[in-house]
Amino acid sequence: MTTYIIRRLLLMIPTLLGMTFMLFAVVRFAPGLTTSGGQVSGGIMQSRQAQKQEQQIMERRLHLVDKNGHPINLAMQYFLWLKSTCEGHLGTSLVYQEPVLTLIEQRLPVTLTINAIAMAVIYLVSLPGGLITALNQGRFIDKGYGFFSLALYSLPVIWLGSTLLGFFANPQYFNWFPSAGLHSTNTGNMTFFRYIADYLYHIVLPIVCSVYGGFAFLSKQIRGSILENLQQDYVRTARAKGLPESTVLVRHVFRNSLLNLITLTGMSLPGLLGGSVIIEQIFSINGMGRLAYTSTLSRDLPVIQDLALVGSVLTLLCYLAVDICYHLADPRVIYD
Amino acid sequence: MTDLTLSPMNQPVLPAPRPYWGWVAARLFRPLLVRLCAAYLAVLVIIALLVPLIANGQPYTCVVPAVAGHAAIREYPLFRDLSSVDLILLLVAGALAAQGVIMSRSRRLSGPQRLMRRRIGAVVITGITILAGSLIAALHSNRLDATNYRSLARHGVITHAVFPPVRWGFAEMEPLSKGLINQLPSRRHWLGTDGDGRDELSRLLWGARIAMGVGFVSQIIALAMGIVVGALTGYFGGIFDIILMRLVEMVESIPTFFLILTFVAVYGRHILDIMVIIGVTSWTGYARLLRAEFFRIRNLDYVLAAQGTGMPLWRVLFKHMLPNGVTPVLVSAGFGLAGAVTIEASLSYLGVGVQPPTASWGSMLNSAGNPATIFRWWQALGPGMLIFITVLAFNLFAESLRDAIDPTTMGRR
Amino acid sequence: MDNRFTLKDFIFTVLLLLIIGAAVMAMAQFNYVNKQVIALSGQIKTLNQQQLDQTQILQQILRHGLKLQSGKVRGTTASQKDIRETLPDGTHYVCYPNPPMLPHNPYSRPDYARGDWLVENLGENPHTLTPFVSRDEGASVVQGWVQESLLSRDPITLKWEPWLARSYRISPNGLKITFKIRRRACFSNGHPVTAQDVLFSYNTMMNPGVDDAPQRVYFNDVKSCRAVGQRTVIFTFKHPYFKSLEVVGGLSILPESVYQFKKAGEFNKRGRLLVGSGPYLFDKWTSGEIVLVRNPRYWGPLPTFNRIIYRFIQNPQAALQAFLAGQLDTDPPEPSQWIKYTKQPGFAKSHHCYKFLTPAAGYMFVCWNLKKPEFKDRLTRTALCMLVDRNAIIKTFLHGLAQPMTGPFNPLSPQNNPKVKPISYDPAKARALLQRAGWKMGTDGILQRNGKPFKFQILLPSREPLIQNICVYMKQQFAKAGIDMSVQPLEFSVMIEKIDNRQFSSYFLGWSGGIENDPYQIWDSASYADKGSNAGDFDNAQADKLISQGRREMNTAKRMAIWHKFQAIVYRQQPYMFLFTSEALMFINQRFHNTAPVGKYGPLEANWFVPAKLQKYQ
Repeated sequence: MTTYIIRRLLLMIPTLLGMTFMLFAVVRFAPGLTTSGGQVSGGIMQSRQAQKQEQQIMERRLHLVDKNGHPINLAMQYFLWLKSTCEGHLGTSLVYQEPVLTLIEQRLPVTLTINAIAMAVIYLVSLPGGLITALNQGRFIDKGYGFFSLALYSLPVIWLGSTLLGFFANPQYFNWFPSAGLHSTNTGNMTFFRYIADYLYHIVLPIVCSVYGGFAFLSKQIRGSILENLQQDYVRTARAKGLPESTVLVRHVFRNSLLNLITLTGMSLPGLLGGSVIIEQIFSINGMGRLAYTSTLSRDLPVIQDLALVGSVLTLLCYLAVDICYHLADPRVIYD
Repeated sequence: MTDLTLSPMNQPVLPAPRPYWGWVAARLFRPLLVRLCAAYLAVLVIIALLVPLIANGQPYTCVVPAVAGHAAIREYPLFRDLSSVDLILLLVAGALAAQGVIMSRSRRLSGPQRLMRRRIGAVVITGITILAGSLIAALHSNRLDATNYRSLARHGVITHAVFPPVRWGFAEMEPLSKGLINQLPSRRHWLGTDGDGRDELSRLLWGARIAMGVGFVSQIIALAMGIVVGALTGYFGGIFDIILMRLVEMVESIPTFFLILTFVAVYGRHILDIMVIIGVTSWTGYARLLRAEFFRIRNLDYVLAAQGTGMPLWRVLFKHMLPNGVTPVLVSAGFGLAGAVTIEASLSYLGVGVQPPTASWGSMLNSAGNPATIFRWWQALGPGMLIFITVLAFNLFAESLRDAIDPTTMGRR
Repeated sequence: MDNRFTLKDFIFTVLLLLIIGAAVMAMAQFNYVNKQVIALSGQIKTLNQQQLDQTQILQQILRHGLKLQSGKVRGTTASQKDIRETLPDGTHYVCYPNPPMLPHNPYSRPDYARGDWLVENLGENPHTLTPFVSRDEGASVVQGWVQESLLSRDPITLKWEPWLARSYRISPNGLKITFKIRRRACFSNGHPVTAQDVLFSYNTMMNPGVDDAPQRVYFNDVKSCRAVGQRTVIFTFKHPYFKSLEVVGGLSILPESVYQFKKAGEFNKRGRLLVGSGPYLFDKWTSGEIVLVRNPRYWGPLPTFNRIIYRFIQNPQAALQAFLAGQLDTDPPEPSQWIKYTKQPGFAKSHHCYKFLTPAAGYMFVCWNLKKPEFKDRLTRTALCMLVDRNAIIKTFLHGLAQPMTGPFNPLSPQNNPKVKPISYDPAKARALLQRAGWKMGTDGILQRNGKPFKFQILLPSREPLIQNICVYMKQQFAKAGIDMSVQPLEFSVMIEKIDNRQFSSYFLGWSGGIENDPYQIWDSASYADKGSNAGDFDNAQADKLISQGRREMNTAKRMAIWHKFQAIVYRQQPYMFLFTSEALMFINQRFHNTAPVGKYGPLEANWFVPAKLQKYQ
C-alpha cells in the first residue's frame, strides 16, 4: 500500500509539471490586454492616452521582462512562476489588486455552500431512486424513472435557468422567489435562524438548477452497481442459505455497491469548488464560477492561472484519495 | 487513476462482428422510443445537410420577363448562390443516399458478393465525394446577393418564382424601418421574428446545421484522438501507458468548460475553431475506455493468434482488436454528442459562441432570453425545446445502445 | 460481520457530513460577514473616538451644519453673498461663503424627513475601491458619496462652484489657480481638510508607483502644487489649458492621516479602505453588496438616507424584476423594457419614470481604418454612412430613445455645432458615390476597385446585444450595395489589443461623454502614435490646428466657435460613422419624493427623500 501511494505521488510530479506548463503556455500565448470590465459597459469606453508605463509595470509583475526591461523567454518565465508558486506565493490579481487567495477566500464559501446543499439533495433523491429502480428492474417504475431522470439530465440549464428566473421571480407572472443575490438587503437585524431561512429562500432557484441534472447519472450508477452485485455468486449462496431477502440486500449487496459510491463521491468533490458559470451568471451570484469567467474575459492572468492550478491539483489529489479509499474499503483491489 | 480493469463484468466471447452488429441493431431498435429517436435524429441530419434548399430567401427558379431588347431569361438564384459549405454538404447528402441505394440493392446477393459490392461502392463513393469536395473548396467562390426576391416577385419584376417552403434565409431581416422585430407568430413568419427582424423558423432550421456539425465533427475528432491514444496505451502498456496516461491526466485535470471558455474567448470564434476545441478537450474519456478494453482483450486467444501470423501492428490493433473493444466507446460517443451540443449552446448563450449572424440555438436563446431585456419565453421555447429534444434523443439512443450490447440484460425482455 | 460498517451507516454518515458541512459553511459565511462588519465598525469607532476628542472645531461644524438644514439658504445675508467676478486685471475670482445648495433642495419641503435606505444596483462587483486606482464606473459611484473634491459642478449652469474650497482665483493668463479651503470642512474622522491633504492627494496621484496612469495623464500639464499655510493651495500649469480648473478642482481629496503610505504598492492594495469628507461612510463590502451609512459628523447639510446600499445584479432582466419586486429602489431600464412598462397604465402611476438626454451618455460610432485602401477616400466613407439608416436604427432597436450624432460632440453640449446637418439615408445616392469613387460591380456580386474586392471585417465587443443587432443590420445593408462585411465579435480585452496594434479594418464602439470634451486624444494626428486613441489615423492639418487653438483658448465663447468649426470638418471627412447617443432612462420607486431630474445630470439622489409615513427601512 505504502509503495503504491509513493508510486502514485511520484507519478503525480510529471503530471503536475506538464499540466502547469500547459496551462502557463495557454494563458501566456492567448492574445488580449488585461482590462477591467468596468472600462467598457454597453460598449462605451473612455478615450485613453498611451499607457506605456502601466504596461511595463504589468509586464515586470508577470515576469515577462526582467528589471532592465529585457524580455524573458517562456521557459524562464514558467520557471520563475513555478518557483514563486512553490514558495507559496499565489499571484496578485491585476484587476482586483488583491491576492488570488483573498479572492478565493471571498468567493469560495458562496459556491461551496450552494454546491454542498445541491449535492446533498442529489444524494437524497438518487440513493432511493437507484435502489428502487434496481429492485424493480424492467418494470414500469424503473423505465419511467430512467426516462424521467434522463430527460431532466438533457434539459439545458441555459434554458431552464432563464425560464425559471423569468417565470418564478417575476412580479409579472409569479413573484415567488427573489431574482438575484443571496440574501435580503436588511440582514443586519435578523436572528441567525431567520438569516439561514432567508438564505435558503434565496438559493431555491439556483439549487433547483444545479440539482436536476445530477439525478440521472448517480441513480444510474447506483442501480448498475446493485444489479451487478445481485448477479454475483455470493448473493445466490446467501439466498440459498435461507437468509431473509432484506438481509441479503443490506448486508451483501449494498455494502459491495459502496465501492462505486465512494468513487463517485470522490470524483465529484473537486466539482464542488468550481461554481457553474451559467447558473452564477443567470442568478447574479458572485461565486467561483463568475470569478473564473470574468477573469478569463478580462485576461487577469494570475487569477486564471492560479484558479486552474488549484482546481487541477485538487482534482489529482481527489483521484488519488479515491483510489486509496477503494483500497481501504476492499483490500482485494490490487493495482497494476 | 481508477482502474477500469477491475470491472468484474464477465463478458461472453462475442460472436463474429457482422452478425453481432445485426443482433445489436435488432435489440436496439426494438423499443418504439428508440425508433422515434433515430427517426428524429435522421430528420435533423437531413435538415442539417439540405437546409439551404428548405429555408432560403431566394427562389429555386424564376423568370426575368422580356424587356426591350432582351428575351425572357430563366434563372436559378438559389442554386447559383449556394456557398461552398452548402455544396459540400449536399455532396455528402448525395453520397449517403447513394450508399443507401447500394446497400438496399445488394441485399439479395449472396454473402461474399454482397460484401464485395458494398465495399467497392463505398470506396468509389467516398473517392468521388472527396475529390469533388476538394474541387469545390478550391474553386468555388461564394456569391454575394442580397436581392429581396420576395418583393421582386410581388411587384412582378420576376415571374414564375418557385420559393422554398420557408421563404426566409437565416440572416435576412425585415426592413428595419418597419420595426417588425420581436414579432409574434404570424402567417408571414410562422414562428415570429427575433430581435433583428429575422425569421425564427428559418433560424431554427439553420441552427440544426450548427448543432449537428459541432456534435459530429467534434466527436469524430475526439474519437480519433481517443482511439489512437487508448489503443496504444492499452496494447503496449508499460512506459507507453505511463507517459500517455500522464497526458490524459493533464488534459482531464484542467477544468474543461473553463479551458474551452479561455480558448474560445481569446483565440477565435469561427465555428471550425469551436468544433476543434470541443473535440480536443473531450477525447480523454474515450482513451480511458478503450485502454481498459484493450487491457482485457490483448491476451485473448484470437489476438495472440493474429500476432502470431505476423500481421502488421495496425492490422492487429484496428482490424482485430478495435471492433471488439469499441462498443463502450461508441456508447460513450453518443453521450459525447449530446454533451457537445450542450457545450456549443452554452457557449453561444454566454455570447462567446458562433459569429453573428450565424444561427445557433444557443445564440437564439441568448437573444430571446436572458441578457436581452424582456423575458420573451415564446422566443426561447423553440431553441430550448430543440436543444432539449436533440440532447435527449442522443442520450436515449446511447443508453439504449448500452443496454443493447450489455450481456447482463441478455435473455431479458 | 455484524459490527462492520454497513451501507446504512455509510449513507447516514455521508448525508450527515454533507448536511453538517452545508450548515457549517452557511454559518462560516454568516460569520465572515459578521466579522467584517464588526472589524470595520470597530476600526471606524476607534478612529473616530481618537480624533473626536482632539478636535474642538467639530462642535462648531455640527452647529453650522444644523443651522444650515434648518432652512437657511445661501446668500440671505449681505455679508455672506456669493461672489463670481472678473477683476480688472483679468483675474477670475469666485467665492462662496457657504457651500452651494443643490437646486430643488429637499430640506425646505414640508414633508421632508430623514431616514430610510436607498437600495440601488451597481451591476458588476467593482474590482477595487481605492481612489485613483479604481477604473470601473461602479467604484466611482461609491466613491462619489464618500469623497469630495475642491469644486463641484452646478447641474444647471454647468459652472464650477467652490465646494471643499471656499474660493478660487484664476490668474489672467490661466496658469495659476489659488484655492482657499473652507474652515469648517472636515473628514469623517474629525480631521479638518487642510492644504496638506490636498497636497498629499496630488502627490499620490502623481506617484509613478500608484497604479493610476489613466487618470494621471490629465495632470501632465500641472507644473506644481504648493500648500501655503493651513488653507491655501496654489496650482501652477505649464500651458494654458481650458480644462485646468476641472482637472485640479475635481481631484478627490484624501485624508493624509488615513491614507499615508511608505511604498506606493501599499496604497494600490488597500481596495477596501475608503475614507473622505463626504456625506456617507463606507461601511462594508460583501460578496453581494456595498453598504454606505450616513456620516453623522458631515460638515455640510446632514444627508437624508440612513444607508445607501449597492447590490451587484448584472443581468438586466433580473435587475428589473428585483426592482418590480421592491428589492431595488431604482433601475435604469433598457429601451425595450422602458417601452413595455411605461405603456402599462398602472406602472407609470406607481413608479417614477424619467427619460432624459445627458451629455454624460457618450455616443456610438464605427471607426474606419483610414490606412486601408478601401477607406482612404471621403466619398466611400460618406457612401457607407448613407447606406445605414440611423433613424431606423434608433426607431427600431432603441425604440426612439436616442438621438443621431453629427460629429464627436454631444448634441446637448455647448460644443455641438447645431448647423451641421446629419447625412441622410440614401442608398441610391450612396451607389452613385461609390461609382464615383471608382468601385465597379464584380461577377461575384461584390464591388471591386483596382482588382480588390470590397471585403472587410468589423470588430465589435461581444456580449453587447444592441451592437450586435446593429452590425447584423449593417451587414445586410452593405450586402445590398455589394459590400461584403463580416462581423467579428471579440472579447473587449482582445479587441483593444487589436485596435492598439492597428490590426483592424473597422471597429464598433462608443466613447464616453462629458460636458466639454477635449478632442485631442481622439482626433489629433499626434494621437495615432504610441497606441493613442486615434486608432483610425484621422490626419487633417486644419483639424489639428483648430484643436491646438481651442485647447489654449480660455474664453468660453471663442472656444466654442473653434469647436464648431472643428466639428464641421470632422463630420465632412467622415472618419467615423457617427451613430447616436442614447437617452438615459430611470425607474424610481414611488416612495421617493423630489426625484425630478435636475439640469443635465438627471435625477440627483442627494435630493431625494422619503416622507416619514412611507419609510420602509429603519
